[in-house]
Amino acid sequence: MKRAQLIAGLVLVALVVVTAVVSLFWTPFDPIRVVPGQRLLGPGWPHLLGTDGFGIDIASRLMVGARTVLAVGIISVGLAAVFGVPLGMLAGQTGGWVDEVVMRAGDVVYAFPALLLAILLASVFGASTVTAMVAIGVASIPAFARVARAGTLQVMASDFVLAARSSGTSRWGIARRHVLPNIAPVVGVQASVGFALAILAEAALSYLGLATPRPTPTWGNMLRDAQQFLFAAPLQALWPGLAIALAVLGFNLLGDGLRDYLDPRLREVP
Amino acid sequence: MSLLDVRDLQVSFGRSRTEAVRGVSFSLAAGQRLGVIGESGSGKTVTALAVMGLLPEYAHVAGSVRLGGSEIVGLDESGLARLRGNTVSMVFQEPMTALDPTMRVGRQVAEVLRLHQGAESGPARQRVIAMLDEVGLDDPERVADAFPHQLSGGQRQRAILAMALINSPDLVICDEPTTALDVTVQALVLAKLDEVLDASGAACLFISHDLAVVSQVCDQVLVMLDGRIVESGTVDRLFTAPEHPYTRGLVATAQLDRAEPGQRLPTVDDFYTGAPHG
Amino acid sequence: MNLALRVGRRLGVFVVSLLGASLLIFLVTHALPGDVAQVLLGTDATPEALAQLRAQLGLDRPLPVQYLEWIGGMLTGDFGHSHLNGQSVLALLAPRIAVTLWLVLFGLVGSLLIALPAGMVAALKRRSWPGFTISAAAQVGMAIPVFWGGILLVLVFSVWLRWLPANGYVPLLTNPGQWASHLVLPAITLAAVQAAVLIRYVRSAFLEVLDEDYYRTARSIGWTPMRALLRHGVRNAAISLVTVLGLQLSSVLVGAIVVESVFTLPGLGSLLLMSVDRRDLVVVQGTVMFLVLAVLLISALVDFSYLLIDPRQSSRRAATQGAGSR
Repeated sequence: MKRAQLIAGLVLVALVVVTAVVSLFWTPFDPIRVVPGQRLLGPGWPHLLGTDGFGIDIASRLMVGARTVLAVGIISVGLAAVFGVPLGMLAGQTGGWVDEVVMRAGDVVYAFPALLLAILLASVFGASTVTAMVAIGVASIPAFARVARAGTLQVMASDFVLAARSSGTSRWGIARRHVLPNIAPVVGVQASVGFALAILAEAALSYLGLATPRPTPTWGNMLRDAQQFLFAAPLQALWPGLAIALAVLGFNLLGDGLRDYLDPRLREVP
Repeated sequence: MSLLDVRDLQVSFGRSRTEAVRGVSFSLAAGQRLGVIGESGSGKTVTALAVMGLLPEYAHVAGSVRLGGSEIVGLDESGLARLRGNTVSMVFQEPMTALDPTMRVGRQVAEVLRLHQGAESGPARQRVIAMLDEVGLDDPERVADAFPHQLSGGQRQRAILAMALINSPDLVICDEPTTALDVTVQALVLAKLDEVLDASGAACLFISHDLAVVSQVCDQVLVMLDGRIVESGTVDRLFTAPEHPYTRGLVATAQLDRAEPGQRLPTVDDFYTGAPHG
Repeated sequence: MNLALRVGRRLGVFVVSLLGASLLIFLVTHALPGDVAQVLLGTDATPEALAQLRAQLGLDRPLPVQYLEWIGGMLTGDFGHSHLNGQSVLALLAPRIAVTLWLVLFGLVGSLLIALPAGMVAALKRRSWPGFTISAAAQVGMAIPVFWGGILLVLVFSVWLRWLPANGYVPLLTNPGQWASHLVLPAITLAAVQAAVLIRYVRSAFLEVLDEDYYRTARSIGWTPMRALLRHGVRNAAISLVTVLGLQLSSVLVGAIVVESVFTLPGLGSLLLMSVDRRDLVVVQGTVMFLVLAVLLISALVDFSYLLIDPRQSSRRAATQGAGSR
């Protein structure tokens, strides 16, 4: 059952990645050029999922949208990890007031959901994919810091670290050689979960018009467009949402599967 | 007809079918006190849980357990719930965590009466206080109104004893009830248990690893090892003429005061080396 | 730790967080050079007019001073005035607060109504079909974006069945029936998404109870699993659940903002989005500050209520917290 979860997650994630990569080279139709005569066609041939209010093939736009999903996920999770993990390690290794300060700062940022940060950034710099990435990345830093800190505390209390410290290894050496490799698995799980959250956040932001502007398709802004024609072409609203749900589900399952795989304590009694 | 009749009870766990109880049979008459001795892993607690029907879902139970005429093995949850707290009750080992920390003690003891007799809180309270007094608690009114964390381990265990006895069950199962208590409190609680069981006429299945403790409450004893009963008899006979080498080991370790000064103290291993956790 | 100390400490945390948040907001909104005066007066304004307007608006003073003025203003209830129409931010917020509040209230209550029973069943029947189905449904529910959920509900109930309106709002006092009908779909959307997240926490809180000795005691006196859980589990699980709810505040807020957009409800969320569109920085700044203040305040009040309702619990928590960190 647990393995099925992991495999299902991997399959879904792979689907998204493959779609994004393929879209770089080929899509069934032009995803951007307006075609006035073909507006709001239902699913059929040759447009498998139909066309939108501008006559553009929906399937092609979906494929391109996968690119943004991956880009935003990678950059924002990367940002959060690059800043969050060292901060968490620092807090965990140093303790004392450094720990307090980092954790309090984290709590302040934690009270700021990505949406509010994105709103602030968009109102100043204008809405774009970049502001979305930064907003989501910064908002995710506390989560990574917490996970890294908890893991670091565990590692620091272990026997081999005690041995390393008594043999004179520097704090930096310990961090590099013992802490980092040991917290890597939990950080990996957090990355997967964080990726799923980033996808949801980006979708919401682009739905609200706070991220990638038209005409570049993202699954979120496709849903915004579809809502306008809800009474005329209801099916359009299905596809982008389904894509988001499947992608998020994939990363969540992957994260859960990894977590169960890595923590033998959680394995249920047979 | 005996109160409790266990025939060829077998319990295994999980997909790997780890065996915990391998064909245990014994009977208990009404009012009789039976001790079950063994070390951890011998299957004594599992046997007790099987009688209560409280084994986890991944346990596989075979054989027969007849309590007061009803067959426990295979009985559905509502049937079991009718018997528990009514015909049979149980006292567990760890008093510090056995009570709901968010509910007053008196109310928890009264739950048994509310559940099985539909007693209203007024008259139930009187019976609760009377019972708390009977188990030897000073100032039973204060205890009834207290939260568990305001009482000591010994007090809590006695309150739990009150809970087990207040509805006059036919059988009380005690699983290491004094093991977690201080030695002096142990003696007090055991004495009270003996007294209260006498007064109510209930039968008792007393589980322990300590033969000396068992001998204070029970007349008959079963010795369990590795899921099986290896010896049974009266306490006196076991102490004076133990047959199985394991029993001999247990007796020796129960009588450490008989060791010669300067000599090494006996261990069970001296007598029987097959014990899995020796 | 005695009570007064704990309350004081929590208060301190609240104030520090508030200040930190305000600093963050201020810094971001003042990140760019170039200026409102220019925007207001247009490209052919004379330098003198610009300077005069800047002095009027307080834009010629150094940043730290502007920050302190902003904070000082808020303490006296002045959250700033919109550059575009001169209205005070609070005046813009006031009529919209009720809408958002109704939405959040119904959303939270709805999510609890769904998540509590579902989580309990998921814990009790975790090895059989009901448990699996509920956990799977929660998993799927968490993956569904809240706005898509809303759109799907609109598809079913407005487009297809025509039972409920697709958007818009009517105040309670104007017409209760229509007020309710406009809030049903938004509330369900918000509740369903929150419930999916909550179910996991409820389930694990009850799973913990199932492992406790007092649960076993309750079973041994004759309670069935469900009733033992209800009688003893709910109270003990409530503590961790209230904690979770407190943590979820931010995400409920975000959900509410998005749902307001889906259903065109005139709440705080739509004010924010409109202001972003128009680059009305003062309103954005003031509204975000207001929202963060609300979230931090509620979270502090929740923590205070723990400490006050049951000081016994705080010592118990302290005892059990040694074992595992948060």
